[in-house]
Amino acid sequence: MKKGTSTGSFRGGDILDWIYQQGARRDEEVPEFDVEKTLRLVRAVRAIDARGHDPTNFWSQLGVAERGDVVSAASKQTFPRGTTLMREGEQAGNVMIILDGWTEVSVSAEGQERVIARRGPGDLIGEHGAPPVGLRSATVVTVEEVLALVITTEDFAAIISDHPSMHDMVKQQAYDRQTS
Amino acid sequence: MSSPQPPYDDIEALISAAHHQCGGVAYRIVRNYADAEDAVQSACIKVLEKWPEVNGFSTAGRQRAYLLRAVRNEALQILRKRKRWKEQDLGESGDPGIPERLAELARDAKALRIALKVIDEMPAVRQRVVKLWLNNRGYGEIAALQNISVSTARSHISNARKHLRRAMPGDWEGE
Repeated sequence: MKKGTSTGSFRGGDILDWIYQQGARRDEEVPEFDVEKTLRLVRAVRAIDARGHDPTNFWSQLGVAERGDVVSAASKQTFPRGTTLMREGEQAGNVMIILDGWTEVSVSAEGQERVIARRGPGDLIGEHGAPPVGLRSATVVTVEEVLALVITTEDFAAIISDHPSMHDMVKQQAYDRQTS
Repeated sequence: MSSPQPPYDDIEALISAAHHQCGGVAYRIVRNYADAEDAVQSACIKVLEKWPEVNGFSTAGRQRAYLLRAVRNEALQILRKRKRWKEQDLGESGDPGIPERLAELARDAKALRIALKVIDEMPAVRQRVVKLWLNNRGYGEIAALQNISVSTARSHISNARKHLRRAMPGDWEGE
């Protein structure tokens, strides 16, 4: 280390050396982050927003505070084409909000998989598996690369309890999907 | 003195310019790549939500500072979440490392703020010498750049140390 001798907190050392080491550590340790991944995410959100408010689209119905909590709780994941995101009958561990790309939702009937819907940007999937049900009601497979917010069912339940209007949105969505 | 950079008129330009710095802020707090990336991405989406307001800031520096604060808040939130997980997993014992880390970050951030303010209030030549020194320049280079002698450059650094030591609150010293 070129300057100073202490390495951790500046306490007990020299404040100028400590500031220098903060800068030196900053240069040494920080890995490179993929700006294109972040921009893709931002573009995906912008593209959904550009379509305007859509009562059938989960993301577009969320307010700023609700989106903020969802985004903070979620991990942002990319899935290649052909990935099974959810499998019918399995224990559910998460819900997803698709930001980019499309998926097919299917259910098994008489030994055959029957595609019942397509879900894409702004759609919430997997909410049937959230507590208290706990089991997946359908299989969801990506038909192209998909970018999604992935939220554990526990975190999703906590967000809904903080934002009761989201509970109504989820209920309404479930009703609309069953009746469409 | 150069005039401040005008604000970015598009969030993508702001993100592109500040992304590495954002990653650095998040990484130093959460100390792993995946969480740091998540924190940066969450912050960028939140700033997008606030873009009509942020777009109206008077300088690019203010926009960048806003984004960096959002990144820091997201990273701290991840750290708090980890703490909650640890407490659930480990029962009452928890993980003493995480609260200590949060306290250390808060303490260091406060110290850094005070120190940088003190440096900014130093006489102009000393301020420039200190900033060059902090940017890894040697005494010879600083002397040449500032048109002063090497001993004067050393003297400025030595006096800056004394000044800083005096200016820092008492409870920050000698522990």
